[in-house]
Amino acid sequence: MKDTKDLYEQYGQAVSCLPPRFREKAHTLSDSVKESAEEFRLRIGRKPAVRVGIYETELDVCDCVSREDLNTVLEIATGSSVHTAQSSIKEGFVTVSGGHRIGLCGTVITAHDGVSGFRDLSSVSIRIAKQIKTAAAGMCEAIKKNGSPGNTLIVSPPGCGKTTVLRDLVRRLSDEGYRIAVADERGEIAAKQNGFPQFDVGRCTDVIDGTGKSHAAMMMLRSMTPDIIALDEITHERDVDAIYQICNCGTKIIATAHGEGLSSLSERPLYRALSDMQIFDFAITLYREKGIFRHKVCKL
Amino acid sequence: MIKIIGALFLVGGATVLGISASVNLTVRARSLELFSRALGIMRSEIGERLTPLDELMYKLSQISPSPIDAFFKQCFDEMKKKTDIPFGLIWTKNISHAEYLKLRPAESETLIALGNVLGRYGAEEQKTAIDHAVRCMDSMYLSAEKDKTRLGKLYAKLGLICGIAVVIVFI
Repeated sequence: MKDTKDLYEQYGQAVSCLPPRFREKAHTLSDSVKESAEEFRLRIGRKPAVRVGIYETELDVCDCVSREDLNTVLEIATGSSVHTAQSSIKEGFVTVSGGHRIGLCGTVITAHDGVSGFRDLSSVSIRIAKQIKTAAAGMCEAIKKNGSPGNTLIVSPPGCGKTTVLRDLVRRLSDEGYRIAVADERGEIAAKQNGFPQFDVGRCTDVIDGTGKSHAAMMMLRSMTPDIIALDEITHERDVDAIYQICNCGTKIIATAHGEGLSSLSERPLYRALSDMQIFDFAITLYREKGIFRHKVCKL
Repeated sequence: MIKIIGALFLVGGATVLGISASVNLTVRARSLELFSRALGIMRSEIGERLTPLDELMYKLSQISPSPIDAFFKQCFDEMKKKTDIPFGLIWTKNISHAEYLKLRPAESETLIALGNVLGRYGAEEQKTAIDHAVRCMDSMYLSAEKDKTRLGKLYAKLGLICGIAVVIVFI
């Protein structure tokens, strides 16, 4: 069962990232919207919108979003310390207390060593992080090989709950007694604040955040003797290298990847390399069917 | 006898008013000087150590002398209480209500303009804004010092003279 109190609290946290003049309207939305809202979208010159499922609905407010509003979102998200979040802003997002992710769009400032930030923000998305303690129900047993979890890849298109499923899978396996190390690059899985995870990630879970996932994974492999390392979204060759090294050390891996399905993954060079290594034992595919989240576990 | 007491009260009251105006000039000059110093610390903390603004407000409230320590303390307290309010609003409100700093409108406006940049943009933009504010504060401080030297004693004497004049007129 979803804990609706938690869902309202998480919704409230996300609303507090909105510019003050839009908050009241966001608070007056119906309970069903509050429970199922997935993100807020603010685009310059448009009214702010809330996304539920695949549908975006504009809030019934008089004013459109201004550039100042977008800067205010970023300021609130960084605790009025935008300068402390530059490395994350360069990557196009900021994670706020509660694990909510603020995605940024605008005119990029390019320096000699790559993107250095944004000059003019044009839109932001406030992705509402949710802990759903039934998200991975039944999956723990399905991904076991000879009684212990196998290497597992969770695949889905954006917005189908990869991170939510990964978090719940981590929690369940951790509570079974497996030592799990989470490389939480964007702070979305455990959403640590002052060292305390804001989400329940289980009793045997260790988390490193604030650095790249491949780096964090290798640090934990050396220092925490994990049974399983969990990392969200394989996006880079160095992630693949880290996964290869982790598996060679006998530690299991649970990772997520963007994709419509396994067949679409194999068309991409990064994943083809992983596929060629035959590392993963199981794949969990997440998808929506008539607005309802579904999953399929298959043995590879 | 009553006339003498009344005369003393009038002279004393007018002198206190004069001295108070003179003290205001001293406080204003001191506030500007201390703000200039505090902004220098702010610049290096934001630019070199990327210190979060709440931590910076706390630090400045601890190391700054009176009267500006109270200002930074108020900013820190409100940041802790109202985490979803932009810092610029907190800063502006506290500058607007800081009569104890004895700042003139133009001086307050310079600080308010700075508050709209602090914590809102990258470190480089903030450093540029702080540099500009420091230059303004320094020139305002020099002007405040001149006012203090030129007018400080004058106000106190003027108060005394006005008091005596009023007494003479009444007698």
